[in-house]
Amino acid sequence: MTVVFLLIFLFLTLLIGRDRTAKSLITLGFNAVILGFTITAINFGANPLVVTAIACTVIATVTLFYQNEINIKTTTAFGCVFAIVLLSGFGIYAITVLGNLQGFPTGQYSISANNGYLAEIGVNMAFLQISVILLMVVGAIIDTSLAVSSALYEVKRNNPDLGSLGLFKSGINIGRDILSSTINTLLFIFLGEYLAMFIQLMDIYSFSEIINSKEFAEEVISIGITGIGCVAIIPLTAFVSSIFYTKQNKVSS
Amino acid sequence: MKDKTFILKLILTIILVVAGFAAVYNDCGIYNRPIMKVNSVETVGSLQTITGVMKNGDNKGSQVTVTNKFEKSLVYDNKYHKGNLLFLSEDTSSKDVQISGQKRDHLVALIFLILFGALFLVGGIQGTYTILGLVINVSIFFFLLTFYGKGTNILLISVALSTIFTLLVLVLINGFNRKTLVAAAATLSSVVVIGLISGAVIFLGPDIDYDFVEFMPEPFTQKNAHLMFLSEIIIGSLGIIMDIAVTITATAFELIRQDPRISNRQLMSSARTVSDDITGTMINVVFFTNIAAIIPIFILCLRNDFHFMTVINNNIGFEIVRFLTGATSIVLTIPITLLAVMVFHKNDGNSDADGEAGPKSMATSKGGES
Repeated sequence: MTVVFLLIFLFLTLLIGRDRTAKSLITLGFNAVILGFTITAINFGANPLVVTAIACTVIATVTLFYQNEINIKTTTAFGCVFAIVLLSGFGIYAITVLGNLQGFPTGQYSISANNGYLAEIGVNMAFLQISVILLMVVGAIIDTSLAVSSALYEVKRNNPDLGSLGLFKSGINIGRDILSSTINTLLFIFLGEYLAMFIQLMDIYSFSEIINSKEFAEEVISIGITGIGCVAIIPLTAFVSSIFYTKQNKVSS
Repeated sequence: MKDKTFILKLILTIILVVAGFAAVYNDCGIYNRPIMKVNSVETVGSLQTITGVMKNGDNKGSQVTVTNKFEKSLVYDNKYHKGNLLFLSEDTSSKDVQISGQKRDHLVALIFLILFGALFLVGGIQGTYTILGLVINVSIFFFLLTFYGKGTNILLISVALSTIFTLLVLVLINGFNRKTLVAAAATLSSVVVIGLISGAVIFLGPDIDYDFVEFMPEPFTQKNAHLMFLSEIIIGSLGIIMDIAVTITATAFELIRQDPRISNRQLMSSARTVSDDITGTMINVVFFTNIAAIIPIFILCLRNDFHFMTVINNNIGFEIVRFLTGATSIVLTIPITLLAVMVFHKNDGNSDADGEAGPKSMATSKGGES
């Protein structure tokens, strides 16, 4: 089944897309390989947080510098993505550890110690959950960041006299256009992914049990944090771009 | 002047977030189940002795001590910290009180308060509409899901959901005009096409083993599980499809507005350039949001000596298929939307293609109050 879907996807993409689409397929392949390496490294006992930090950096590097090229636009985006991942990292760590948002709920599920999934595996599940959220954040914010930084570059080129405050405001406006569609995309991916879970939870739990349950809180908080990252990257990129581009302009003129 | 308004908004938002969080953190009174607040934790090896105070019920304010055993990996277990609120099995301070769960509603509330606050501050009016859309969509989603318990076919519910979501989100983004109509037609057609393709593969292909799927409502027949999986695919693709449909109709309408006699070929060429830009962007988002979640289960299986391929086939194949169908819907929506625009363009023909839809589309795509 997976193979059939893969073939359909590749066929349609190559049929409908052009060069840039083909290039994004290669980036996608890279990202899949990086994810594979991440899982393998963790399985061999590497610290999940260290491995994830490296993976996030490599993913941002490949997506920004390979799919596009090295210039002030992509460098700005890279810096901003890095900052958001680092900052959100602390928050993600705190909420995951304090809220016990890791692992699998005990109950009538197929994943249990009785079915051969032992409880002691030598890897901290809380760290794995932090890795998951960090990767989701990175995947979702890279392109928003690049969209804002490249658009602002064009704005600055067409209006060289625009000050950094004007540039910042224009960046926020550009970001607003992307914002609502990104949030909706995330929402529906999330609702679709956990449709069966919602049905089961509604069947066995009351509302108050659902929002306090590990399985629900784990997923809803992951997607919520990803959403916050998507919003936060916009003012940050607009701010950094507005300062960089104005400075660069002064130097060159 | 404008900056002062912003600072005011910022302060207001922060106050609301903090107040909202504090309110939900302290809402123990509305629960029937006894809750304790952890004041001190003593961890010896894998055993925690937790002391705290009852926060509700008849014994409110009295001291309790409970114990918690955990395995270091925390696959199924929890490790508690000072400040945690825990549900207890009974409202006494006797020795055999058990921890029955952790109170997490304030954490969920915190994340969404921050998200809404950020949307409000950064997104302005559009952000506020986005919040409104989120709240309405999620409410409708859970309301219609209750019909599943009453025996309604899950696919039927998903189709109803998709139609409502599409109309609602598009009207919220674009207002009610011809552009919205074209985008809605394109979205729904794309959903039908991706649904048919996925349905064909799922139903006509070899049997799928759903035994390892978490949360599949039991007992299930092959057909029921197929329908559930297909519904997940349809709802999961919806946001992606809408996003692409909106972007392409906006571009195409703008091109038509600038040159009402633009040929279909020119239209197609420009729209494909735009779509080339979005495809790469979207594929990454879809990839990581769907696939990152497999890491914990993948590691758990590998560590328990499951073979790599067994894991892919049994446990995470579904996540991969969800990603692939999401990615397919990105590329599929592009030609379908173009077709919808062309049909509209042709019908409208030489008349006033730049009538009321034109200026409005300009205004909305430029971000309203900018």
